Amino acid sequence: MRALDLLNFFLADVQTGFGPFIAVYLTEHKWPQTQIGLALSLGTIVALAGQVPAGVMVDAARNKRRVAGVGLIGVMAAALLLALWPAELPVLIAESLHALASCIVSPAIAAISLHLVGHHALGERLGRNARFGSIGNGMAAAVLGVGGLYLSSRAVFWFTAALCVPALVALAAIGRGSHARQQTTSRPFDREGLRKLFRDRRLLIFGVCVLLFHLSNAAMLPLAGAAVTMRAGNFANLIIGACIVVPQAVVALASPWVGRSAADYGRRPILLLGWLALPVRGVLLAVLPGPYLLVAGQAVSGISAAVFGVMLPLIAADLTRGTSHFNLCMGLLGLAVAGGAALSTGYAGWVADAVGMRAAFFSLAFAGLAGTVMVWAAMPETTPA
Amino acid sequence: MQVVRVCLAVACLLPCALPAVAADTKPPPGQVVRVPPEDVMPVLGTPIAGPDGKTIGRLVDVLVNAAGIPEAAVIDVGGFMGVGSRKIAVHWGALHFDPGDQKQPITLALTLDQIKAEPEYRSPKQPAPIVVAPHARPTAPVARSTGTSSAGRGTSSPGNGGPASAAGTTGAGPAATAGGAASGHAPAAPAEVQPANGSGPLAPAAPPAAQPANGSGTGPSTPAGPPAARPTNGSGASTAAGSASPQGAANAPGGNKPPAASP
Repeated sequence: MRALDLLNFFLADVQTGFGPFIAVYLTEHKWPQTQIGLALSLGTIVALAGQVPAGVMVDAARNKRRVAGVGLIGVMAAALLLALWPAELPVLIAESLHALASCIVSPAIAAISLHLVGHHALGERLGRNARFGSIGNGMAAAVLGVGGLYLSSRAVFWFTAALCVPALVALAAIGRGSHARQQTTSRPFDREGLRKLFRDRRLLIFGVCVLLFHLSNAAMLPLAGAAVTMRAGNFANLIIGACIVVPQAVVALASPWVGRSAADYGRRPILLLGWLALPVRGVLLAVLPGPYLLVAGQAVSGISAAVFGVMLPLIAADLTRGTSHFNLCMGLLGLAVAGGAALSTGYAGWVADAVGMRAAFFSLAFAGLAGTVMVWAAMPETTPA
Repeated sequence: MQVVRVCLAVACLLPCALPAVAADTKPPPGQVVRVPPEDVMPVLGTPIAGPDGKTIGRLVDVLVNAAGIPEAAVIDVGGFMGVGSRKIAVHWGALHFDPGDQKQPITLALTLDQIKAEPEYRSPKQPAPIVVAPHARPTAPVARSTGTSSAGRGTSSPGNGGPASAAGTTGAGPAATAGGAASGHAPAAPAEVQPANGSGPLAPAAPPAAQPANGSGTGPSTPAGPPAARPTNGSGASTAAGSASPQGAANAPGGNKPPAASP
C-alpha cells in the first residue's frame, strides 16, 4: 500500500516537468514560437490518438505492473531526450513518447489499485492515490519553479528523469493484487463484453460530462495566470506559483474524504459537488479583484480536481463490472479528458481575444455549468447495489 | 519489365548528367565575413532586462517589415513554469542592445508595469499590437530626416521606415514615433499600443507625418538630428517618407556597419 502511495507521489513529480514548462525550455534553446507550438500540438494529438489503443493494450496485458514500468521508462526516456538533445527531431520524439507513456501509465495504475483492494475499498484507495499525487505535484511545482529561477531549465528535465528511478522502485515493491483480475484482463475478440461496454448509455453520458468538465477546467489556470501577470508586477510569478500549489494542497486534504464519501453517500452527490465547483471558480476568477484573491478563487479548483481525480477511475470501475474492459473504459474517458482540454484553450483564447478576459472566465464557467446540469439531469447513480 | 528497364537506364544516366549541369551553372561560393562578438549578437531566447536591470522576459520573436527591418520584438513576459506568461510586442526602438554585455545584452526602455497589461501578440494574421515607449510619441511636428534617427545603432536598430513603408505595407506605427524620436519629452505618458497596420487607428496620423518627411526626401542633407541621439529612442523613421533605406542607416555617422558592408 505504501509502495502505491509512493508511486503516485513520484509519478506526479515526474509529470510536472512536462506540460507548459517545455515551452519555456525550448524558448531558452532558441526555438521559434511556431516550432514550439508544433511540438506541443504533436504531444496533444498523440495523447488524443493514443488513449483508446493504450487502454486496449493495458487490458490485454496480464501483468499491469510491467506495463506501468514500461510506461515509466518511456517517460524517463522522454525526459532524458529533452535534457540531452533539445533539437527538433529528439523533442518531437520525446513529446510523442511522453504522451503515449502517459496514456499507458494512468489506466495501469488504476488497474493496479483495483487489483490491490477490490471494489469495496476502491474509493478510499483512489482518494489516497489522488492525495499523494497532488502532494507530489505541488511539491515538484514549488521545488522546480523556485529552483528553475536559479538553476538552468535543463536541470528540470534531469530532475524529472532522476525521479523516475524511485518511481520504478516503488512500482517494483507493489505486490500482486488478487482482486477483480478478470475485470481488467480481456480476452482477445471479446465481442460480447465490448458490445456491453459500448451500449452502456452511462458511459456516453459520463463521457460528455467529463468532456465538459475539462472544456471548463483546462484553460482556467493559464487564463488566471495571464490575469495575474497583467495585474501583479514583479511578484506575478510567485502568485502564479501559489495558484498552482494551493489547489494541490486542497486536493491532498479533500480527496480521501471524497473517496470515502463516494462509497458512503453514492457517486452522484459527490459528482455534483465537484462539477458545481467549476462554475463557482469561473465566476470567482472573473469578479475577484486583485491578484492575491485570485489564489483564493483557484483554491476552489482543488475541490473539483479532488472529485475528478477520484471519480473518473471509480466510475470506470463501476461501469465495467462484469466486463473485462476497465482500461479501455479508462482510455475512452481519457479521450474525453484530452479532447475537452484541447478544445478548452482554443475556446477560452478566442473569447478572451474577441470580448475580453472576464468574458472568457464566464464562458468557461458556463461550460462547467452545462456539465453540472448534465450530471444532475442525466447521470445515473453507478454505485453497485 | 520494360518500364523497370527504362527507369534503370534513366537512373544510370542521371549521375552522369547531373555533374555536367552543375559544373556549368555553379554559382561562386559565398564569402565568409567574420564579425566579432562585440558587434553582433543572437537575440532569440535572450533575456530582456527592464530599465531597473531586472529581467522582465525573453525575446521570442522579431517582427520585420517588408524591407526586412525589425519593427518590433515579441517578449514573453511573466509566468511560472510556463503558466500565465503573456507575449507582448514592443517597438524595436525601445530596445537597447549591447552585444558585449554578457549579463544584460538587451535592455528595454519600458518597465514591466508599463507593458504587462497591454494586449497580447497572438497571430501573424491579425494587426499586431505594438507597445511604443512613451518618450517616442509625437509631441512635436515631424521635422527630421529618417535616415539619421537610428544612426546611433547601425546594427541594432537601423531605422524603422524604409522602402517597405513607401509601398504602404506597414502603416502609421513607426510614422507616429518619428516625431517623438526628435523630441524626447513626455516621459510620463503611458506606453501606447499601435496596430502595426496601415489601416489601424493611427492611419490619420500619417498625412501630417508624411509631409515634412517628404520634404526631407531631398536627401541626407536634411538630417537635423545629431548622431548623438540616444539609441533607445532612436526609433523613428517615417513610413511615408520612404527615404530611409537600410543603406542609409548603415552610412549614418556613428553606426556600426552591418556585416554585409564590412568585408
